[in-house]
Amino acid sequence: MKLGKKVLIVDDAVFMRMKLKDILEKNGYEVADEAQNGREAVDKYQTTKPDLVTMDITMPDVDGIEALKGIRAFDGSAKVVMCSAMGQQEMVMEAIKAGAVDFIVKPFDTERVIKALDKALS
Amino acid sequence: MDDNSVYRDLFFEESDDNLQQLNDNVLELESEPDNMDLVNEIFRSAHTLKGMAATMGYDVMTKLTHKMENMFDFFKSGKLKVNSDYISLIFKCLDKLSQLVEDLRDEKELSEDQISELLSELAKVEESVNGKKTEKNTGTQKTVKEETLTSVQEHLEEADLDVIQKAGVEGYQAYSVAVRLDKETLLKGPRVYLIMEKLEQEGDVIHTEPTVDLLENGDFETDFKLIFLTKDSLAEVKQNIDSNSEIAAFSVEEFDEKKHYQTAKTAPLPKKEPEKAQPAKPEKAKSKPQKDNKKTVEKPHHSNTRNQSIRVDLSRLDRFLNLVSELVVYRNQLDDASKRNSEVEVKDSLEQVSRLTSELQELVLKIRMQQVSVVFTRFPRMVRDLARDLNKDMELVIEGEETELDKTVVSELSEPLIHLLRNSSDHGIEAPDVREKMGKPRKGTIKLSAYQEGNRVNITLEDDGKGLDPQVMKESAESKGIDTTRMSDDELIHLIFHPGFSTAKKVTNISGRGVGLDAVMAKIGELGGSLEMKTKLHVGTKFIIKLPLTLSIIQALMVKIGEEIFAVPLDVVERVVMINDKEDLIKTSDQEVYRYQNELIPVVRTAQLLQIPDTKDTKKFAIIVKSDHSYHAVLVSELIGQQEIVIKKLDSVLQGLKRYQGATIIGNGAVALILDINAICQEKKVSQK
Repeated sequence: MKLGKKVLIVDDAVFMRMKLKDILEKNGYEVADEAQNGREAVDKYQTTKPDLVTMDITMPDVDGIEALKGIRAFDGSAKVVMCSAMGQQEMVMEAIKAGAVDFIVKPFDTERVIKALDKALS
Repeated sequence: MDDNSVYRDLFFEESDDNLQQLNDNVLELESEPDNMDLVNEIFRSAHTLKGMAATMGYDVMTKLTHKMENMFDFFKSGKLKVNSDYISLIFKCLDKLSQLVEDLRDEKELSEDQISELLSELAKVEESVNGKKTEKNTGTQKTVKEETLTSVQEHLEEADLDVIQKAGVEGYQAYSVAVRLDKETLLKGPRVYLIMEKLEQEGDVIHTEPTVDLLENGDFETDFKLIFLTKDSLAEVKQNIDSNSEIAAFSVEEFDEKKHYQTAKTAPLPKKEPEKAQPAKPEKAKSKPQKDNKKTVEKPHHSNTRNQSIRVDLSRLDRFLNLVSELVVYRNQLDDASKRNSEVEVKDSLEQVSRLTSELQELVLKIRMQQVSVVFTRFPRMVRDLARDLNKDMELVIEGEETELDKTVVSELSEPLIHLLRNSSDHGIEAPDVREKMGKPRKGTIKLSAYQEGNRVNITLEDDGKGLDPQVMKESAESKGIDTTRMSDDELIHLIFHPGFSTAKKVTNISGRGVGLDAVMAKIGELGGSLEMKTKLHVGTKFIIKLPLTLSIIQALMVKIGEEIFAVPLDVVERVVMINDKEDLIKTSDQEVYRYQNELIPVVRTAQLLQIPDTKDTKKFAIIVKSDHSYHAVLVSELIGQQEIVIKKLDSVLQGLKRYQGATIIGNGAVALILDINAICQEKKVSQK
């Protein structure tokens, strides 16, 4: 089912993007594009129209929550999974309020990430 | 850039702390295997360490810490009894972790190979506890206590029942829901929040256990219960909950009022209820090999490494701030006074400023001070390991670990001390049987103490071992071709400081790999200290390290040699005598000597040595210095006086100049070189041979 599902990875850290990309591609997802900040994310969401977005919360300039709102404004059915670190409870809750479908917590555990994405797309 | 790099310094500092804590506590655990508080504390430290490593993305380190933590978990649950083999294994892990941290500090990449050996050792222990069946990647699920999950609400109030009844009239169905999160779920609060958000899109959650506040704060284990009012069918509610990730199990049933009044009847819940129709789903994930053969490589970080940091007692910083504020006040007064050309006021303020600056100077030195415990704390563990390796029974007694020294000295101290400790353990302390025969207690004692004495700190290391035998030294020296005729016992014993001299009959990996005590001596010398040894055959050996309290500022005797100004560190100066070049110096066949306290001591003509034109004056000063257990008379032309000087390191280009410890800037802005008396006296000795 998930084969060929397109994901847009949003994270300001190259390292994190690489890591996620690795995890996704090894598990049958296709990485549609990568964005390194919220502004790019909103922009690239519109051009690539991915099935799912992984959205880092803390990013310079436009952060993940703003970007989430932007994307949801453009597409009310957009599926955005937030990427958070420990200690970001409040922001995660805010993101959930704003319509995030799920969240994954860094450091990423392959199995959990894939489970979460599978769930989000089912 | 990687966010993490910002936290690198903190990470290293805290990792060091946690590792030290672990080392200490594990050592203690060995002697108090039943101390559960200790186990808990160890567990916490390990957990913190793991968390930090994981946050930094250091997978290799995280993995090892995680596996090590499992051991502590077994101790905690009583599945494993603490014994010294396990302790040794844990120590091995801790050592490896320290090494990993060092590698990371050096921006080296970590690879899984580094820990594979330890992991397999740990896995063996785990197997012995869990049985062979333990699946490698689902160990966590195994350890979940298979407590039954029940959706019976325990704290329902009348009001809730009221609401449920009323809702029933309007076509709403109440469901009793219980959810168990994955044991390793992170951010439980938001997780619950997300689950509830999804439910509330379809209805109302009217009651939760624990309370919503606790749930959203994540203050619960893994299970929670709620009552959900909705028009959805049972299947739809189940589907809703199942759409969430990180849920280990859940149960949904139609709310039955009677059930909650009666004694809570528990219905055991297997794994994933009730979708028995598709058991393949959870299985699928498990059967997937989890990053097995993947070689984890950590990305090196780009940041200024080795940013040395120091922890400072807050009260000292507060004092610093106070002094600086005071200084500002007087600066303003000075400003003011100078505008009004009031010389008296300027003088007054200047006095204050000079008082403040000296206080500040003193304070900064204090801020740089660090307790020697920073290095001492790792030694008990080391001696324990040595005792095991050498089949000896010995104990390390530490005293005065709160003694403070300049940070630079403290951090350089561990290497020479380790060397001395190994020496004492290996060569000093005898085997238990031998000790018994000698009438000594079977357990040997090594005592390490530190104490301040005036402007210096003494560190002594004393063992009650066999001491040095001058006869053995003599034989050993002769076999190495050293001429020992006319050598006193004391001189024979001090041959131990001779480069490359080792009396060990066989080379062990503990000590004596040809690196002699001369290396220790050199290191201590580098730190501006001195090393002495006292030994008595069959009684023991004592090493005394004398170190300057601070490195960067020293008391010096400013002198003139010819017309040049030099600084002589005051701590080597025994006394100063005025001499007459012509009358007081005695020329023997091969050297000049001076009679000092009925002892003839060699004379060092610094002007000649440093190739400075000497003054014609026959009146000179002899500075009597003690270097390397013997006195020397260092001749200078003129004394200027005692002064506190700040040592500036010589530029690397000039560091080949052995005769100088460094340089300092003197009052008129000129640079004065600081004589390295030890090196100069050494040179004198060598030139004579």
